[in-house]
Amino acid sequence: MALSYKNYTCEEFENMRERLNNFEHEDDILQLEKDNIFLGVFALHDPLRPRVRQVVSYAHKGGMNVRIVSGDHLETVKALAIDAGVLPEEAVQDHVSAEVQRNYAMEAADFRNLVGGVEEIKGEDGEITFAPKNQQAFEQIIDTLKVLGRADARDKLLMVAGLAQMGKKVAVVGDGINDLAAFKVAHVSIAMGSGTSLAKNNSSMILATNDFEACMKAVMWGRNIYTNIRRFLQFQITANFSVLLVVIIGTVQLTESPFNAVQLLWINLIMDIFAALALATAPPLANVIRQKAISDDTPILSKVIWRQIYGITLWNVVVMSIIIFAGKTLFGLEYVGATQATDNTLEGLAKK
Amino acid sequence: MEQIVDLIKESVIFNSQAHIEMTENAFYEPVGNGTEVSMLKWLQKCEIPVHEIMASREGRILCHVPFSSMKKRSLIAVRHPVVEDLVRVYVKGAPEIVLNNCNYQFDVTGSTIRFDQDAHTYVTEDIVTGQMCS
Repeated sequence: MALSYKNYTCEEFENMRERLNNFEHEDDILQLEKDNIFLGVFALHDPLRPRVRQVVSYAHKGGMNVRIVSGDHLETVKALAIDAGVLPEEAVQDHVSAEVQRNYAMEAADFRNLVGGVEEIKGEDGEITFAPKNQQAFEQIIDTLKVLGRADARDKLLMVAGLAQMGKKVAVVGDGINDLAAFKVAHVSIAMGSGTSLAKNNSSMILATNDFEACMKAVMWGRNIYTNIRRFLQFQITANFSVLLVVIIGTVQLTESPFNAVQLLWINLIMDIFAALALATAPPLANVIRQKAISDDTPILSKVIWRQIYGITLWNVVVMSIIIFAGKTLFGLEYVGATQATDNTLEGLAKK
Repeated sequence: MEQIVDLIKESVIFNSQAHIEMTENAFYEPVGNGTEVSMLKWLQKCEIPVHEIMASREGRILCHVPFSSMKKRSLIAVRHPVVEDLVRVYVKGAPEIVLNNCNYQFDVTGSTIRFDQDAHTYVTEDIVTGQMCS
């Protein structure tokens, strides 16, 4: 950060004010900074939070790419990015040419020139989507590009819009008013708890403790819920298919259902509820991050799941059929009226 | 030398969007943007009565361009509270931008000299890029 100043007498200042449209516009006021006296430069050291490096490597494992778009000096951001593990260290060593280094970290102004700024596209339904003017150039450089320095709100928007156009899922972490444009375009917007309330009100998630680690927890739980829903669906479909088939086969062969109402209720109420609860509330394992991200067109029931559903249903039906049709002889049971013995419904009791 | 210290003090305190609040245990504490707050805390550590100087600019701000990520600098013109007939314009922001508008600097004795191209490259490249960013 640099400081500079300039002295005016009151009269000079009033003259300037008259000359510059009464300072109606900020640009008029900025005319005052011409011919300044340089006072000093300052640098502040803002240490990384502990564990950021771990969180970033965790993100990389999960197939997520971390990029930094910052208003700070490019060299500052580079140093920070290396500490955080966002930028590979070999990318900015001295023997690497400036050209190659620019592939990894770029001044935001250069980036904007290359990509050609952001463009508004009005959809047929009046929805506005943003895209870089030169999407091809964007896609060429984006793979290695990790860091933008001296960026402003437009560059954030440009970065997010370009990635979204490529069909990527984008999450933006921000804390100020200048992040709002990017928040709107991003799929997930994350505001820092210490940020302005405007940013917090317009975000989909707030980091209450200002800890980036929470983002990864959100990803972990998100992926876990998806897995749990799959497990739950697989269980429900298998159980219901099995019962359905057994009832059909039993009814056709024995002229009445092998299960009575209480048994069916038992299956549906007790087993389904408790088993489903157990499956749906399973906490995430740490390695859930290693799963690939789920894309939009992935069906929730994959081929493997369907195969398991069919297989287990078949197994259930076969076992049940053996017990129903050959159970008595197989286990050497000697009793009469197996159906009557279990017939404890009101109708059954009335018959007795 | 004294005057330069005063100038730095004023630059930091006058040209700031942060404000001073009193905490429960009666300490003056700056609140606001992280960078500005750290600078004010630094002055407080040097036992400078930041809240008093901050209060002295009250009603004397003639015009103000707050910091924005687009402009990367903030500017404020203050009618000086101590010196008569003086309006001082303070600029604070990214070195690349602020330095482009600087034509003078101080030498070791405290008098102003030209801020030429050599000095400009020395500050932007050797000091800012070379030392502060590593």
